[in-house]
Amino acid sequence: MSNVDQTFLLSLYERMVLIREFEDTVKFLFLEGTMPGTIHQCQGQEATAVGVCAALRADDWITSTFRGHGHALAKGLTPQEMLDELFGAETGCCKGRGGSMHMGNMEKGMVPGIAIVAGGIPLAAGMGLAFKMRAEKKVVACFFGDGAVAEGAFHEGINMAAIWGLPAIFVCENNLYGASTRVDLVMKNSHISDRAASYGFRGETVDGNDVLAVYEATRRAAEECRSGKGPVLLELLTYRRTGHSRRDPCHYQPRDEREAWAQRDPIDRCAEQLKLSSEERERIQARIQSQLNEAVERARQAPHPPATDLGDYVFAAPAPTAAASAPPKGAAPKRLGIAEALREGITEEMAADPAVFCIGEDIGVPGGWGGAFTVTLNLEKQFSDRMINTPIAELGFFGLATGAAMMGLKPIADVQYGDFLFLASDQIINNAAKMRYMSGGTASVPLVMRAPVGATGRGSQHAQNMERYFTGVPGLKVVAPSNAYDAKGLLKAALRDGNPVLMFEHKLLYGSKGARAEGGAIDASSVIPSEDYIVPLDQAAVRRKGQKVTILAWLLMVHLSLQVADEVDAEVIDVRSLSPIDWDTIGTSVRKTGRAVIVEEGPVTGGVGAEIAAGIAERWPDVRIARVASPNVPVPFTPVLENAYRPDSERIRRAARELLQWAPSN
Amino acid sequence: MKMPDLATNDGVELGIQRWLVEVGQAIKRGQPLLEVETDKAVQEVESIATGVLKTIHVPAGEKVGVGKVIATIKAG
Repeated sequence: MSNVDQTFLLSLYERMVLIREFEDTVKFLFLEGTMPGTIHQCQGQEATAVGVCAALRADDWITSTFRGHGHALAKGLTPQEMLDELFGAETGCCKGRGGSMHMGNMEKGMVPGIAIVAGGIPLAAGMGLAFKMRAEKKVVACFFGDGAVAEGAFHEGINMAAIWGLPAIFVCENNLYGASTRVDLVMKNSHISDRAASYGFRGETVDGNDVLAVYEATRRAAEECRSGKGPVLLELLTYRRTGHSRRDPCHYQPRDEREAWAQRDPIDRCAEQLKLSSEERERIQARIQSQLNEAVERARQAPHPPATDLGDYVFAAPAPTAAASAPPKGAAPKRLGIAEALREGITEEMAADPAVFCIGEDIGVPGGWGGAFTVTLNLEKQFSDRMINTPIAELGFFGLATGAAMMGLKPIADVQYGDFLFLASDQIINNAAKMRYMSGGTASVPLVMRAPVGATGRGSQHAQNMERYFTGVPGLKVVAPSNAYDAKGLLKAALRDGNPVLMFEHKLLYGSKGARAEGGAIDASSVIPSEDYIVPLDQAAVRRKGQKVTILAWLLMVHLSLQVADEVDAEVIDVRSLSPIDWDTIGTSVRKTGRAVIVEEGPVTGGVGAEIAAGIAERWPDVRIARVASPNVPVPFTPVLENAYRPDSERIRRAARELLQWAPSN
Repeated sequence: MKMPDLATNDGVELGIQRWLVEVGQAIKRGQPLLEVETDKAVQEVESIATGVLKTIHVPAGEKVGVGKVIATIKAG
């Protein structure tokens, strides 16, 4: 212990006291009733945050949880920016948009806390992936609790970190309780560090209330990570001296256990190591308390954002026009199918921008299929280091993609079947879509996602139209191309947009040939120009001009609608942008025709068509609306029933004809 | 010092079981001052400030609503 620099140890002591005083101050502000919301505090656990962060460099990163005040102070966020945030002020670290559970500061290397238990673990792995892909010597320390190790996100995240040797230190703060449930009730082997071995990497259990032990263990782990020998799992044994959240009197913690841990208080132990007198301790505490009190008074007066700013920070503003990828020399326009056009678009964007990469299952296996629908066929030949083939772990790798995007890479993550998006939906909806907003616009997620949809004889779990579950998610853009020109152009626009964009593709429209051809496929090919082009993300397209009735459709249904359009003189609109809906284009049409048939593959109740119908009815109440959609049944396998499930051109024709009986009122 | 909100249903009054300190006593922030009975259990309520307890406004045995002043502390 005599080797330890006393100045350094004193700095750790003071940082822990700062955390303890901050948390106690906040606790009483809260009980006073002047602070809004809720708090999850970490009194008793100060040594974990301080010891870990002391071993990190300034350009290393941390991810955190809903119990993140200690992590934030240890990483270097100021009490002022945190108190401002807790009071909901514009000057808070997340401009008041995040709150207690989302403390963070991208400039100080702290991603806003992820409040979904274990949700930050795949993110952290993705950040490590970004550091590795860019050959940066950075490390990410990922904090989570004992409760998190039961979540799938833990397993998927550390597994991928292990197979790719990512520079991530997974820090489990084992305080014996997941909320109010003791750790030995939720796992048979409660030595959490043992789990690392089963994934093939090193785990270590550390006295989490010994700040120097934590510091040393983290220092070792960081060195391993920087030299490519990561990841590492550190289990820090500690104890929470406060409630799980506000108003929790901790009656589930036995009294003798509480008292035993109080004897091992990290701050007391550090004071002993420093041989501080009680006067010195009081002096330090008083100084810190007084600084905090000043900060509290300033925070009470800090300005709140005006209600008119509610819509700020949902999306990143469009970047200045990205460098266009150079067209191949002497290339003539050519007709391509959707799969080929996407492949070409991905190739061009990857060639032009080293930040673009692909991540998914079976996407770049030499001798493989190029994904389930051939879109990425042979791309690994040209981009061997940027086609990341993942285990079957959709939640995990969508989370990794989100984390990598937050570090400035531009991932294209895909699922083999849209139905699998459900597995990834926590990462997409709770993390990717919300991160920009809840960070007060300081974090960005330039993440492109792709998913094949549609019924194709494979049974109900490989057949759903998933658009409905992701449209209307604030912070997420959703597009659905019906042809190859749009597919390539939308993909490029998405990669340049800087926001989370989810592109739905239809299995029957890919135009794949040979072994991966689909029975019942429809030709959706287009002439693709040789020069660079984009298709704007937020616009619908008129596919056929008409006078009598507007047919609104997307993906496969566009093609079926066009089959009957002549007979009924329909204006066929390819909705194409499902979030946001292009009301301008739709409005121009329905005001002219007075009749709208909304065609959707997928159950009629609560589909995207319901949103379109409501939107038309609100804006142009004289328009007569009909929906053609699937009945409310899961997708059947047997072809007779599947064909009855899928809207066909006959049903579209019938609906249009019925509307034609109605004269539009003026 | 007001009665804090202790995981109760709205509008429920909290019963003061007993005061753990006396008027005139020096107290520290965080020190338990009184025991309160909620609809779930008996809980301790801690002092929000360090100083001297000047006045007890609501004696033991009475009920009081959340947010009502229960004590005055001379801070310092």
